[in-house]
Amino acid sequence: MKPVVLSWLLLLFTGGLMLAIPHISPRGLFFAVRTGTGFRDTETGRAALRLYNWSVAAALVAGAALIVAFGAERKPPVLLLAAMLPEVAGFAAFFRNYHRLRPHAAPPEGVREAHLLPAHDHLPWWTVFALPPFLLPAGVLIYLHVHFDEIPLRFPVHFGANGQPNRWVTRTTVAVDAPLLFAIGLMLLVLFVGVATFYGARRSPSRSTVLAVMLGVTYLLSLVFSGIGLSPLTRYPMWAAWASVGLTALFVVAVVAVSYWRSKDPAQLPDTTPDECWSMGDTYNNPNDPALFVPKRIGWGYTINIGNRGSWVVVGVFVGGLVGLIGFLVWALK
Amino acid sequence: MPPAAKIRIDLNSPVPAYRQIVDAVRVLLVNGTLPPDTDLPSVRRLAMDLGVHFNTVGEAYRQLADEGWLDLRHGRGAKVVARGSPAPVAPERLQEFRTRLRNLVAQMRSEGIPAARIAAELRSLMEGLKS
Repeated sequence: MKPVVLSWLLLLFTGGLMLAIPHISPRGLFFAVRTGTGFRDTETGRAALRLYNWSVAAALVAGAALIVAFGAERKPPVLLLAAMLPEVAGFAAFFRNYHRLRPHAAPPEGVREAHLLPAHDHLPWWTVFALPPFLLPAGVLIYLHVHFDEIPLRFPVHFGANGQPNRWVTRTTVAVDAPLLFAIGLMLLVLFVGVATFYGARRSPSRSTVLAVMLGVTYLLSLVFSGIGLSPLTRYPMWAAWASVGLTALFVVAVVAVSYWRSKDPAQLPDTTPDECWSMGDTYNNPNDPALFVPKRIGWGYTINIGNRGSWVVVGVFVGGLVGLIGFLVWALK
Repeated sequence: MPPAAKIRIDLNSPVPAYRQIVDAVRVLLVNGTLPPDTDLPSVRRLAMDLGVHFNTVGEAYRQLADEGWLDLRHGRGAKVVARGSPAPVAPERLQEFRTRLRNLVAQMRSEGIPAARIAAELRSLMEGLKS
């Protein structure tokens, strides 16, 4: 796929995503400020939304103009910048609105409710579906070892945008296994975050949705890396690479759709976090809140409570694990 | 339909949060919503759900355990226990309850609630709390 086509797709994707952001925040939040549900229909609310939409739209037009002007010259940095313009302009407008609307913040909700039964919360039954994605890379590992002698003595491990290999390694057990072991490790880390969010957040239906999204991510990783893992034996087809990118984009769109649907659900618990514990609407720091994860104010999902040491343990395990996995991959494929 | 085993506290209330938790859970214990052998959420879980400090819930559970309602197991939350008949109330304690009730009734009357309505509310509460 030509870089210019890719930049058009990326521009439209980021533009659409940014336009959706104000509409997928949790109920009662508007540009990360707790304004109440009716605020967005007031004159001030409409003006804030107008400003945001126009900023993103102007960035979309500017990005399109840049692609048209520099597309023929094939300058990837310019094309990337053009595609990311809506994101930059969108977040700038978002934070401008955040500061403008803070004086309109409603007083914090003091009423809290908690169910005493069931006492113990358990992972949903469908968490068992976290297992099948591990079978695919495990199966590919077995297949590769059965056909180990058929693998060329040197095989490609990196491909350029044109689909041509540009890096090879010598056939060793660790080099053959590395992408699949990396995938298995990454899937375990993703599941770890999903489970940690489930147990580290207040009980609400969103916890299960986040866990389901994490399970979806493991399926995606399993498919993509199993294909990559097979590449020493059967060359990874370009269509499969682009299908992976398409699947990832579809996945993001699905998550946005779920977010939108969830944001309109009246069963969602109101945000009970104090305004003064939020910085820029996206960083939550409350040492007095035992929750490790709290619902995000921008978009949908959870963010960590940086005031809680337990959150840092979860982040440490994830980042440490990720760095370790990347280090392993680099070492194995050097 | 049995009442939901749900408690509600108001952090803006002048009543301390732990006191509100004790009061709310005690109502559920007295009216039978939480029968003996029922497991209650761990201190950590309830604190997280209510967004209050662990010590607040820990203090509330300890108070209920002191009253004979809960068995606290280290690290495993709390279990409702079958409570034997409490010892007869001392006259001083009864006087204390009487004073509190009188103050509350006076407050209700001063806010315009008719005496008959107050009596009906008290009767209804007593019916609901019969265990």
